[in-house]
Amino acid sequence: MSPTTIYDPEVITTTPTKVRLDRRASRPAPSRPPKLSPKILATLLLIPSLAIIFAAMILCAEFVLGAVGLGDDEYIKVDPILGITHLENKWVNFRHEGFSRDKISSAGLRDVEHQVAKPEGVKRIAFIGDSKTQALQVNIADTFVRLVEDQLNAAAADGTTLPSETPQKQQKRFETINFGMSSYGLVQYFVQYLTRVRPYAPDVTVVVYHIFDSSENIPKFGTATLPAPTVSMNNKGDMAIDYNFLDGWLYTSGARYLISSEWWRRNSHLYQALSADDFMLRNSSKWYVNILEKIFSPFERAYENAMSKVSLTAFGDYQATRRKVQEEVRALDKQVSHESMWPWTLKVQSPANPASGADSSNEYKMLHNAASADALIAGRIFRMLNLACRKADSKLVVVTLPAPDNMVFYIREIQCLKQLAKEEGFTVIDAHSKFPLLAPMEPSPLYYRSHFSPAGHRKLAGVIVDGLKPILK
Amino acid sequence: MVVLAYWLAPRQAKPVLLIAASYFFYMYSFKVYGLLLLGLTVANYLLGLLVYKFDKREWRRLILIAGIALNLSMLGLFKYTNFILESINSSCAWLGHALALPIEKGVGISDLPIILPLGISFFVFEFIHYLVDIYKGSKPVKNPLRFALFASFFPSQIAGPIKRYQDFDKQLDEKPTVTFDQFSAGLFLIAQGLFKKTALGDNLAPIVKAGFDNPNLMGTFEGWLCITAFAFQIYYDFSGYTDIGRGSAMLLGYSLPENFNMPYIASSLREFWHRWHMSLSTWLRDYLFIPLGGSRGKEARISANLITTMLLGGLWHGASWTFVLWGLFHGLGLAVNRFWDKQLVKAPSLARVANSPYGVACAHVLTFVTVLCGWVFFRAKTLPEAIGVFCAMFSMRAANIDCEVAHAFFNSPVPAAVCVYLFILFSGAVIKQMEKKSSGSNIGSHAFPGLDLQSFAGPPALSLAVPLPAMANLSISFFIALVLLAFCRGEVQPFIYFQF
Repeated sequence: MSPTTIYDPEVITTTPTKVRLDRRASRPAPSRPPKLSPKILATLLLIPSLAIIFAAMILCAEFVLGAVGLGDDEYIKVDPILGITHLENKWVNFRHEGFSRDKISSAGLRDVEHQVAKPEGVKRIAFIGDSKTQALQVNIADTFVRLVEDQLNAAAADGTTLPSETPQKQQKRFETINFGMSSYGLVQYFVQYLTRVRPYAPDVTVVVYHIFDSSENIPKFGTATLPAPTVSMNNKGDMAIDYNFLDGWLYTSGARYLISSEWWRRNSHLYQALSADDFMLRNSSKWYVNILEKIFSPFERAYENAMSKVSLTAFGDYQATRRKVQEEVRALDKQVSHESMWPWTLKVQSPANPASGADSSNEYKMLHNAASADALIAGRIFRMLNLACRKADSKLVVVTLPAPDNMVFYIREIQCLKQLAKEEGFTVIDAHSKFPLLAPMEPSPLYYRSHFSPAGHRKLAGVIVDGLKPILK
Repeated sequence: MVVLAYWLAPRQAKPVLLIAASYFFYMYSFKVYGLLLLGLTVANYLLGLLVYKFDKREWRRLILIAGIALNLSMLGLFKYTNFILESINSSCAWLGHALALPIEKGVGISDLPIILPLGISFFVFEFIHYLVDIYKGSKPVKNPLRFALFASFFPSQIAGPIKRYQDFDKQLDEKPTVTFDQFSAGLFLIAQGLFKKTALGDNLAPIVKAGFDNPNLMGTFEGWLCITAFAFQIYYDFSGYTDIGRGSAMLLGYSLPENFNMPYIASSLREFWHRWHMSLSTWLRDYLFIPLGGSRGKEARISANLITTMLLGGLWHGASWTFVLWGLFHGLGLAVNRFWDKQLVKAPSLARVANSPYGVACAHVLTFVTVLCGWVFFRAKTLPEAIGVFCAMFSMRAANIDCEVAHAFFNSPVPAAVCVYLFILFSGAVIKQMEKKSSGSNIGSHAFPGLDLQSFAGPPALSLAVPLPAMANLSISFFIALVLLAFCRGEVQPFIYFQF
């Protein structure tokens, strides 16, 4: 007997089951809802099942990424004074050049925790700079800022242990603080000193200066609106901090998006990873940008509308801080020399001279001219910064970072900085001359791509310590 | 998009669509090389028909030789011209230096601006296999479209696996179908391949680069760490590509041969080659080792055959003396392996020691170390670079403070990626068991003792309505896609085998 026949009431009549089936067959069939076929049932169940499973997978991925310490890519928040700053108290992992995973401090510094009040007997050194100082490519412990502190304390501890101190637990004599932030330029360094660095009362303020740090002191025509304060000059030649361009940026949907998405950028690993990959692809793939534009262009208006509703009230009365900065800068500008001591003229070498190199190309001629103009403004900002530091009992030191080869105008800029330092009484530590000149794309253990590897940080720390020793005596 | 268009297209149009898609992908970067592929496809199609048509063995042999010569000359022209020119130049320079001749700086032959066509080594080997098999009596592919699809099939076009036309063509006879299970399994393979490539292979690359860029800075530990990282980088890179290719083929209803079977657990070099790049090793066996004489004849002759096969296999990988040395190293290793196997047969007491747990463990370690040493030649761009890495590996020394290898390993997402990968492997094993359970087979159901898979299957009605293994495949694929977002690096690393 085949298994199918057991359910046939016409055939089977002997077993109790069969009898029951027989009885049921004799009664008129009650009206029942029609049975769903397995295919329809499968289709009906598939969609909600998929939705549930996908939601569960999103949660699972969030949990796994959190557990393995990845997907913490976001570290930027909007700041109405400086343009952008770090998200405070946030773990950040950086994977685009080198690799690091560390926590931004409660004060929004890419550094260990520091209290604002200076501990007694400690000399403080504040480092202001851009992404090279921020050093997301290496862990905080490997940054030159930390290494400088370690090396200075180690040197100070040699034979100078106080009776109350054990060699293991010596009092720290030097404290270094890292104020570095990617994309910052000279105007931001200056404003940052006045608003954020000065409260820490550093004994030495180190500006870690790099090529192109002065290229955005004033906005250039044709460039995108800057998320940074700039400087402007009136007809009399008075310099002032200009927030117009930063305000222009604050009203863009890009800035509003950063503000509105802060919770997600702080808390969702997947959101952060997606956002970081999106940023990376936007900068590397035209194809990706075109596709995205096509997909999202119908929603552009709705997006702009939504972003325009994002309020800036969370920043509080930032205008008061801005006014204070502007007034102080105006006052400082009146006290420093306006003499232009920076100009250099480009010597176009004769074509007969084969060693003319970069200087003779038109492209470099333009770069030289632009850099020369930028340096004029930079000289004035350095004068003001030096004066502000002097008033706060802090010594200004400028470290000139190494730059790629052929950047002749940067070498000139360093020469001018040295001349200015002599006149104004600050110090220049020329790290550029202490690093090897490399051919384009030449591999070196000192760099990943354009930023320092741990070996590069060690070398730079050594150069800075040697330069700081005479100042700290 | 291709998958969607493929399944929406009528049956007759499917091969045409796949050929068009394959040529589109192939010509995306260098359009002109589409003509090379097309030309070789037409030539080999006609040669195959001719070999089959002629009854006289001499004629068939002549056409076969012409066909092989045509394919190898294309490979030689595009892949080995600059290698030969460079070798002539440096040999002349060496001779000039040694004999004080006025050719100390070489004979001034400069490199020709030749860009290697993608996947040429793979499709040339497929064409040779096609012609040789027809010569041996297999039937040629009559339909030119089917042959064109075999030659250009995009999931295996750039870096294999090296297909056998009989297996591939047979699939074209069947009505193209893909079940939900197959589709989800294909997606799982693609996701797994992407994870291997992006999360593991690409994140190992900076560790390897740090070592090979500055071999003199490495200490013993860093030397071994660097080459082990490369061993896994190349494995994840290549097997990841194969998984993506096989998964893509599955979405289209095709199956491609497996290329890897956990190669680093091999207990002998012979076993390693049964597990590593299997489609190449079987090709080398069938179309090089056996025609050379194979395992017939005297031991010296067999060893010579082995060494020649592997040496040419090494040269196939790349036009550089380091690849030749890599092939030679493996050829010698296989010859020693064969000699050792013979000794074990002759001496039962030695065999007992070799088969003991310690002996087997030693065999695994020794094989892995041998393979690692081979990879040094494979990865090094020059012989001095290889020597530098060997010096680091085999001289007891500490690393220079500026050596980045250990730092790059411990400060990388690799440990995290390994944890996630183990989870994916475990999930894959569970899904396989679920598939076996749902298909009623008990084979392999005890791979994880104590794991009650009935609980995964759910009530019969539900498992009927929702195919659980397929759902599990889909969900794991989605999970991998999500976590991959956090693993990929800014610098995209091309697949290593794309250069071959």
